[in-house]
Amino acid sequence: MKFVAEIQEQDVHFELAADNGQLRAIQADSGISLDLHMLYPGVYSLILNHHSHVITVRFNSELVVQVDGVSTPVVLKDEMALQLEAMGWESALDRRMGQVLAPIPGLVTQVLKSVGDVVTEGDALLIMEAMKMENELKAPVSGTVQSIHVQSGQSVEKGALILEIA
Amino acid sequence: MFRKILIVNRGEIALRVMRTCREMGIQTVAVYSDADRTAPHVLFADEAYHLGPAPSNQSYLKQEKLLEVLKASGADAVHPGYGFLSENTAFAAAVIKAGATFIGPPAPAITLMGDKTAARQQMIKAGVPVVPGTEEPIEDVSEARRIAEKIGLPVLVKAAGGGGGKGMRLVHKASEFEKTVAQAQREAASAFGDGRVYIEKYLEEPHHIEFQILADEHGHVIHLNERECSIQRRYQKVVEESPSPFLTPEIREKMGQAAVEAARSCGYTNAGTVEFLVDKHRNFYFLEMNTRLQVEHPVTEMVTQIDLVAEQLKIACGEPLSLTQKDVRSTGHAIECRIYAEDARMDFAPSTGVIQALFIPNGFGTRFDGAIQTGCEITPFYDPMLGKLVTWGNDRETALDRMHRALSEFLVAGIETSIGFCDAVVQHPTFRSGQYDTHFYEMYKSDLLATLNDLTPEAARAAALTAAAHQLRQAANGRLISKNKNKQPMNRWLQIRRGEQLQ
Repeated sequence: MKFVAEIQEQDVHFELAADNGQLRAIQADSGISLDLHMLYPGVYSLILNHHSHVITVRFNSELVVQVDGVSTPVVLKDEMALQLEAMGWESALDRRMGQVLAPIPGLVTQVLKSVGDVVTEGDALLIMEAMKMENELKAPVSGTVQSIHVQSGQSVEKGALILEIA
Repeated sequence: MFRKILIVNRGEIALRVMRTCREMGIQTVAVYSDADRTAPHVLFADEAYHLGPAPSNQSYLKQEKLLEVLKASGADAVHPGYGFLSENTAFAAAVIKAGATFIGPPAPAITLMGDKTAARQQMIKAGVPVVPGTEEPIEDVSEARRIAEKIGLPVLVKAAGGGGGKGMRLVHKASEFEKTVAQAQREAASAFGDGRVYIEKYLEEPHHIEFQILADEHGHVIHLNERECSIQRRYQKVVEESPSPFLTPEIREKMGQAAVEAARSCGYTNAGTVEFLVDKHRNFYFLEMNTRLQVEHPVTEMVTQIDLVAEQLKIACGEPLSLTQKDVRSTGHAIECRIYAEDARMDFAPSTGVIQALFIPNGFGTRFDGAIQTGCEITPFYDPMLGKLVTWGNDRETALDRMHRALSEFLVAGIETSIGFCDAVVQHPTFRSGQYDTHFYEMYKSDLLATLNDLTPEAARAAALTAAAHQLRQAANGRLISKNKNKQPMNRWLQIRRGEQLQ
């Protein structure tokens, strides 16, 4: 199975294969066995070219890896996604830009906009309080507020849909 | 000495206090909310009492309930830690009324220093320099705006009822003044139940330097030198060190005397911290006094080899200080990094979730004061600080190299933390040079954040391979990890699994 991983604006191409449950990474002409051990769920020790890495992988609305003290999102595309892209189809994977999701869990203390309001990118939409700090949620795009899914005084989970702009 | 102490706090500070209690043969009593039943401070304590639901106003801030626990447990003293009720005069008074000792200063000193305006007036009276600004909390916003313009912008708007960066806002433009004051008032009201704010002049290239003091009930007041706390983001400290690379021996001496004077003038006893702002000309101004143990107290402990909690307990018992000013020696250099559950790349938004795996650094000159464990959940109910990593070295360079090593060893899987950000600070050439002030973060923000996005091609490759292998394994386990409907459906991974015949 061929993959492309987008990680910190680098594209990493590789192929993974499995023989009797042992994963191999295939590079140019030769295959190397992946010396990968799971330490805890989602936490791995990988020795690659004799370099020792401890890597964690988790899914939190996107796939996030932690390696060498750096925590960064990674977008994995397998053969099917690559083919769909080559055919010019939208992969339907991209989150719609105008959807504003709660970046943190917290309490909505003030909703500053109403449905129908025209907003410009960067405008404050609402104020959330989390861990005793006030945070302004800003418009990711310009447009008109289509719907608002929260009220002031409401607690929201991380990733909850708050408002839609189109 | 006390027989049994009730610690009305949670997290790392509750554990920190309990450790000293146990060393001194004192029984410990923990309290906990629904969210903390299996938290480390509860596991460590000799006794534990349930308080109520997770939100702190229904648990750790519930005075009547805490006083019931005090009575039921038969504890003879209460340690408040920091935050929560540590600077609440009514609670301190209620503890004393219940016949127990409150481990902290006398109630009037807490009241005075808790009211930043009254503290300021007291300092002016005691001859300790203060920052120019309004002496009273703002009542008339337009009058305050005139004063702000007279002092000269930018000015800081600060909560009169508490510290820690909550309710604090900077105003650059006169046109933003009203809006910012209103924002600060709301935040202060929510954090401290007191919405009053005041304004003060913003100093040039300021350093935030504080002095640890100890005062007994027999009139002895000493200081244990300074902590440099200029590395802040969102007006909250992230990295602290002692000694300060900025102070000269002469200015240290002067500031130490001023700190002692500040404490003496209000009849202070127990441990406390006098915070100063020092401008680029090394003029220093009293900022505030924290009438409790500070988060960053281990920095002082590492260089002075004095257990500050032990001193607090002895003072509260009425013992005289065992050392005089000239006995205080600072050896080597200590630095502390606060490890927060937060995402530096998302403007330090708090990060919540379960800690999947944890490796805590260890080794020579390394100390971690925390209260986290594998499997514990970081909830939005409490402060996002996971703990404090402190390293000590013979000199500053060794302490910093050691901190870099310790941070590289630290793994907290499952949530975002400030470990990478702290390392970016510790490795930054300006920080290494010691020539930094409180503007460090704003000035080098892009450098620091770039470091967080700086993976070597080899590390990127390792991460990509592991991520793909992880996804295959998840698929093989038949587990649905995608919660987002817009993302790849899981059955595609199942197809891959079949195709590859992965076991």
